[in-house]
Amino acid sequence: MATPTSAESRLHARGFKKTAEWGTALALGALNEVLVVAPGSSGLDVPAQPIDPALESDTPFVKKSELLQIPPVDIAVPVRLRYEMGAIGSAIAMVYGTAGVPTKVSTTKAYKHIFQWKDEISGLFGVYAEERPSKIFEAPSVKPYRVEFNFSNGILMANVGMRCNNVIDNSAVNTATQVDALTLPATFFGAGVQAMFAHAAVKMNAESGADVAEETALVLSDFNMVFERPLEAGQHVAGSNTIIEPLEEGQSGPGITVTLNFPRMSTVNNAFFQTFLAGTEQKLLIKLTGSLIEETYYHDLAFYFPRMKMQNPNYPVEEIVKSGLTLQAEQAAAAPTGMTYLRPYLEIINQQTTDYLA
Amino acid sequence: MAKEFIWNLDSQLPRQGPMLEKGKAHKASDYPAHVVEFWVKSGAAEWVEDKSKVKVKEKE
Repeated sequence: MATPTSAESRLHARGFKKTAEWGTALALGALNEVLVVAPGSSGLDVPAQPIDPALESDTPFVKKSELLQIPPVDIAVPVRLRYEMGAIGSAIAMVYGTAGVPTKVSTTKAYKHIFQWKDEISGLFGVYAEERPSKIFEAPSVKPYRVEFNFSNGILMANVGMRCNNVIDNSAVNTATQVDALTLPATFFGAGVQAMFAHAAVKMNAESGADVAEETALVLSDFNMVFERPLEAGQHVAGSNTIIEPLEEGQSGPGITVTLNFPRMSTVNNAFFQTFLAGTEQKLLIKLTGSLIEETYYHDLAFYFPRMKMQNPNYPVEEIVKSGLTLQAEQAAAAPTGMTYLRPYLEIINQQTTDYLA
Repeated sequence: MAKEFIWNLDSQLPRQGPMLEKGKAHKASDYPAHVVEFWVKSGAAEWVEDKSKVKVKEKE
């Protein structure tokens, strides 16, 4: 096996791994493969490094241009999200900011991971690389700062936005050997491991109400979730051509938005107009349940939103009158009934035994 | 005797070769040689020097 010489992108591998020092790549290898949706692209490409022509006096024609600083490169890595997330799970955990050693919940196989929303995510970044014909493009440092979850043909997709400090094709750290050594979780292609729209139950009630898990699931035709930290574009400092680690900017903090789409206006969702006007905060649970792992433990992705503010309920008139609703996450004053934390968090049950942020 | 290595991590699917099972011995010849060397160097795997070690690993 060697780096493919063919331009067929379906043959090319990708990898992501947490690193410790901004600007310094680490070798990819076992546990680090990322499968990108095909045909599709993360957008990883040569940085649009500008040149500056020396426009000076007594210059009838430009005699010299200087290559300027390397601008950050924004990529978005699109994947089909499985309960066994593999390496892309690390990038998603970085957007949340906190993971941890999972808890074994069944006798031998099932582990529960919890991603919690951290105040800020400085120090969380990784290396990302993609094969190209006879080349490996490496972004030595990438900072995940946005993830969008939505559905395509009933399959849960995740699109992870990352800001890269550079893209190179002559890495001494990640060569053919490291990329050849990439691996995926053993159950990655197992039955019921792909998270599907058909696996989803979305439940919502007032923040002050009873356990939302006991509610009747909403009848939805589609939904999506966006988690975004407002990252600065990137700053250069003396002595370096590439940006330092970007931090979050803006007082507004992160934007976490959930959009629910209903197939028709009903006696359930027609109440959202008045709930919106009353300003009654909601809590929301979006849970996807896949195949059985062991005993009573299934592959699970459970997105918890302890406090959500309704925005823009709407009832568009088409041949069938439909309904839509957007919700914006806030921090609860206390963990509501049935939830453990104040901010949005994600519980995952799968077979990975290690911390996604290890 | 064919050279073998023990896989130290969670069970994985490599890009080439059969599934890598945690704590189990695998024939090195089933995988690209440079890849196995790298897995061993990075700690993902270790060479089997002694068959009894495999049993210990499986018990862990």
